Amino acid sequence: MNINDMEKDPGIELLNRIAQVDPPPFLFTRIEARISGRTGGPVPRRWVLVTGLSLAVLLAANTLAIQKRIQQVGPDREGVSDLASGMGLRTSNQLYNE
Amino acid sequence: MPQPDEFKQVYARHVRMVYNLCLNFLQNTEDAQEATQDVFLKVNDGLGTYRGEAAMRTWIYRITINCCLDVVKARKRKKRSLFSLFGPEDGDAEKLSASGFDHPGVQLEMREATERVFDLINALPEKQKTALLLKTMEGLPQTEIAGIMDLSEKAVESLLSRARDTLRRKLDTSEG
Repeated sequence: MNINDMEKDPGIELLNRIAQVDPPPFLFTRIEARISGRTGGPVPRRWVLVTGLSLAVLLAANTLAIQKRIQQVGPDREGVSDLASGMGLRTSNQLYNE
Repeated sequence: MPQPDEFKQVYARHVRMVYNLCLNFLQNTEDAQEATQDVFLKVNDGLGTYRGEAAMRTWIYRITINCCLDVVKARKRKKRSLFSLFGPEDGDAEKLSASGFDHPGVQLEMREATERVFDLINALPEKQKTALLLKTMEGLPQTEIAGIMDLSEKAVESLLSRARDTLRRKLDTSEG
């Protein structure tokens, strides 16, 4: 097939008769307004990366600190038994005194 | 960020090309103006990092085609959502595609015939439509079309051939 024959197609020939149009003069003003109207443009990728990494480090540090604290102290059982004995509460699951 | 003067120069040099391609792609003045604005916003964003790997014209052509395809996709989405509300059986599909035709470059006496040809072009697959418009309306050589579309020259030739065959067949059936 010969692509240069395209112009001979009646449909294509019709397209060739379409005139070029001048863009409206207000277009540049609109584009300038849209450029200045944007809040500082897109956020740089480096900023997004740094912020994401900082948040991840903070989260990891928090998790580590909490785990360490739990391992050091252990569950607070003394405080619970003091309170129970002070208020005369039963701390076993036995329902009847045998 | 590019210098304002630099952007102004790029705009002055390419706006006619961008606007006319948008018009030919979208066949609607309002959509073409909107797409042209989008193109130059992207050009403004990219000018600072533009390294000149592709020719500026090729780069702007690519942005223009992508913006036009975005508008076409948005139109299709809008059409689909309208149909999901009211149902397609009312013949709204034809009305919607026809009512949008508004191309100031088309002479009044040729409007109806041109609109029919554009309807057929719009029904072509995206790549065939793009190659056909770049070839017939922009008058670009196949090498440049291949560069813009990031395809081999052979692939462009095949796209053009298929587009022309489909167009000719459909025109024959609609006239016959």
